[in-house]
Amino acid sequence: MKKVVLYIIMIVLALVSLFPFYILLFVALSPSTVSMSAGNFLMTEIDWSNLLHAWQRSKMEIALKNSLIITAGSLILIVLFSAGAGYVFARVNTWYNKFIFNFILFSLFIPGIINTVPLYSLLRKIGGINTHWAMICLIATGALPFSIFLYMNFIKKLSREIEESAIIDGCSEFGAFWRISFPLLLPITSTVIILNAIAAWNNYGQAVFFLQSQEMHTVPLAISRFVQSYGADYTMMGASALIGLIPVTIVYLSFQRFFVSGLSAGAVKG
Amino acid sequence: MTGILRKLHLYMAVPAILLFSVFFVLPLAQGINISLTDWTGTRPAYNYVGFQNFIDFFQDDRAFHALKITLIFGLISPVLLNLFGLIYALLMDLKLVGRGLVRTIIYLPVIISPLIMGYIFLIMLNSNGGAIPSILNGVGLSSLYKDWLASPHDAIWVIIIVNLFQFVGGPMIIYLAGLQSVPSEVKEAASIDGANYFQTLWHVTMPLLIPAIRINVITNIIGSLGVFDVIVSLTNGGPGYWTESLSMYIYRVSFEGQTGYATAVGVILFVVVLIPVAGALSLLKKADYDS
Amino acid sequence: MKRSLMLTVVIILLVSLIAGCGGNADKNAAKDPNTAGKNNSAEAPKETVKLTLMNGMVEIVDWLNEEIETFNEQNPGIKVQQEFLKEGSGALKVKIAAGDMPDIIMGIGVPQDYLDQDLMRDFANDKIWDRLVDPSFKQAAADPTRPDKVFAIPFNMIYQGMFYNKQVLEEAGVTKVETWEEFVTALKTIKEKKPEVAPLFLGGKDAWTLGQLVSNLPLGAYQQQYGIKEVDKLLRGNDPQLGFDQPGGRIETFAKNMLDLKAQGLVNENTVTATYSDQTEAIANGKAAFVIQGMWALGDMLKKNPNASLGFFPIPPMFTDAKPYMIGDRDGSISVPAKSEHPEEVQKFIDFITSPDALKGFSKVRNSPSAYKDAQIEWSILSDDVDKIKAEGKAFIATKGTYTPSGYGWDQFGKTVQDLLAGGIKSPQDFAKSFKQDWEKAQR
Repeated sequence: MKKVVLYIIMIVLALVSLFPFYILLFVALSPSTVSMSAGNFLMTEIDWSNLLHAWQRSKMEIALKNSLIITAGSLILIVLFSAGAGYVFARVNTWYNKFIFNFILFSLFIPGIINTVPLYSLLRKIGGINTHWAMICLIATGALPFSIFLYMNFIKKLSREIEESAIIDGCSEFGAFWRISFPLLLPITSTVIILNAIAAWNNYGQAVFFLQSQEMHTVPLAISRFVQSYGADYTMMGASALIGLIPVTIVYLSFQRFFVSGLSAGAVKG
Repeated sequence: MTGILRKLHLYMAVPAILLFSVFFVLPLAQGINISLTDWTGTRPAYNYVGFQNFIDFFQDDRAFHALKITLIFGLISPVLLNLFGLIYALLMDLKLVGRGLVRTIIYLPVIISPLIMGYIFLIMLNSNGGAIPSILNGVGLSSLYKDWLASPHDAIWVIIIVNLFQFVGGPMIIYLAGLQSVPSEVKEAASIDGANYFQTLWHVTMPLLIPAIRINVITNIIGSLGVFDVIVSLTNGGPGYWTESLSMYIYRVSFEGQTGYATAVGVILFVVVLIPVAGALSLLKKADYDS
Repeated sequence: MKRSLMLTVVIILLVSLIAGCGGNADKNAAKDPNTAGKNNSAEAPKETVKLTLMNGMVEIVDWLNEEIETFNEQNPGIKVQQEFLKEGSGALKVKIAAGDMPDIIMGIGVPQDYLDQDLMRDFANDKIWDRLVDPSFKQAAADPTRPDKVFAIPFNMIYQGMFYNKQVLEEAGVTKVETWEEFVTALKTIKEKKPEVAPLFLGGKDAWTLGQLVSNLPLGAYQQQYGIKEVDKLLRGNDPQLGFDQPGGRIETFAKNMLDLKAQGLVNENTVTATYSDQTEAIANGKAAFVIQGMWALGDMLKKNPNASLGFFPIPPMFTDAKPYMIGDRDGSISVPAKSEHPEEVQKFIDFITSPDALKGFSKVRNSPSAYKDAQIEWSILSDDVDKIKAEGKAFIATKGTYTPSGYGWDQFGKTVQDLLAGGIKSPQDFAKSFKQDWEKAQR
């Protein structure tokens, strides 16, 4: 009896969570003359051409390409740098390491807005405006504190024996880490990937400042074009948002089984 | 060469540190510098005004209101997020069929950009036929409906609820991870001793969840105090300025010709974030010791 | 942990002191934005000259892309590239503040500071002014502080007035709205005869539509009273003659009238959450009778309903000592930095985009008349109405919008009106006070 109630609650939760996605579908696929004000939100007519129009008008193929490059680039930097740094902070317990680690964590508290204007001047001087590499570095920097934290905690719990036996066999510590321990980090790496892929893909606040030409637009910028005009074109926004959701959803679904286990080992045990 | 290779592992943090220094520390330092000036953002000339910016902040009504909104949102949201996150996690922890699927679904809203989520809810709340008033009308609860986004004091609650809805998956996953790392022997031992579900929960599980709570509290407080995107799409700080958070205030004022002042307010926001987090952390430390 | 914290703070302060010196040089660089030069410095004519064009009008992005493509094809040595940054957006201001000047700017108002520093080219002696339909329009485009200089070439002359749905008015039997009383009466009639129609529709969530009302009604009245040039001076100097917060003054009366309209149900119920999009849809589909907007809105209205029956009236004056009026302003503009690395190529583009064909295209895209004699076309279904208004001479036609301090424009006024309509600001007097406060703050 109690079980039935619990099942009902679970189903309700799932449906409620899915409802906004449904509305997105509705807005995206209804012909643009169907308006909400009639009070109906049941999808009676589907106009697939909305997707085509949104694709063309927002230059989605360019946006997708840019977003993919930037997201993938950031992820590579984040995983490699954070894992490396996490190792050092977990294993090499010097006072300066401790200090740097705390300093980096501390930066989580600092509102990003303080940095924006000086960052713009800085990037302009080194020719970074409107480039992929600058955006990648920027996103990676923002992701470092939490990712390093996750890796550090996880690595602390890794037994050293495997690495030590590899060292006895002639590996350097460096090699031992990357060849042996790192693959063991897959759960936490998955977590880091999911969290940062979502953040990088949806990054709007920084992208709008630092990526200005249409050739460099990322998906959020392309979508926002439809809500920036004097009147929001929700149909197009919905359609382009729908297209933009696909890659990040794929990443999420692929890595999500390691999500919980990665966090449980990396974050939750003190 | 092998000498370096052998020592290489000590330097594995260097790339991260370099990146961090260039792209974060450097601009931050300049930002702090700007916060002590009256720079307008466009005119090249500016003066150092020291702490005048900070004094101005405390005398500005709108700034103060933004602070209030930020605190309301930033303290209530984490509590709600953690409460619901925990409840959902407990639900997901019970060995019910299909829980993996439901868990995945509940987390799904996190993937959408908050800006777009805001627009979706805007569409749903539209008094002219949006989904929510229509549903309420349909089940006869139309008296419950109000154009909340038009009301100065109710609008903030809509934002809190939308934010809760979208991000509850985050704390849920972390709590779930925490719950799954509680050894089952401990729970069994407690039930053998005669404890029921809730007693076990409170006395056994919760203390072991303190690390999870700590992480959630920190990230949620930081995130909520910096809330921006979802407010922009739902109300853009409106009606009037009633739902403008401190981050939005900073952003707006910065581009209305008061860049120096705005950066100073950014420093204030930093302090605003620091205090609750420090407070929460020390509370948790106490709870840790007590248990 | 405590020691680390202390060290952290100390180091941040130290670094900021050092970086502070570097910061100065940075801001000095902003004085001369043309050192930004990110183009290929092509002296040899064989190399392609790349010109960046920054556009701030999202509505013309597609049209502009087409024009640029044509231009690039016709001029093999030149490649123009469009960047879009929404006018007034933070990103744009940061870009300009950092001295990142593009080669060509379209549809963006360059900050007054820059104009004052003569960073933009002066077009005062350009030949294009001979082609103007109305020669006095040149004055409308002139620099406000130094009227003998003109830093941008305008494209269209676009008007703000009052749209009305012909069908609704016909069915309700409303014909004349030439004074505020007639207007309110008309609203009441419509409410009575057609209760499902919103008499006046306000799209309050998009604050600028409310700000537009402030700019048109009370500020527009000042324009009529003092004349366009004179009022500019008064507004700029924040002259007490204007009496912003005077009891019974224009601002207060505006607020009072707005509250009255709301109280009597003569506006849509969801004024604060309805968007500009809702507004255009409502009037296009006959769910609203009147909408005060600019002619740029016509395109959006026709998108919602290609068969909309729309007309255009001048705005009824809120104050007894005024005539109904249309407020014109330049729509679309092109300006270029004074110092350019590729002056010939830039000039070629200017000539191209101001050619009659290009201007006609722009006129069509914006649904408003071009300012130039050789680019006149049937620009929309409103052209008859507008011609009639001009011919009848009953209306006061302003050739430019009223001055507002930079940083305190329609968006910001609008927020205060939002506040008023949402019940946050309690009285018209408070509204006037708040308005005056914000106006003065923005001017410092």
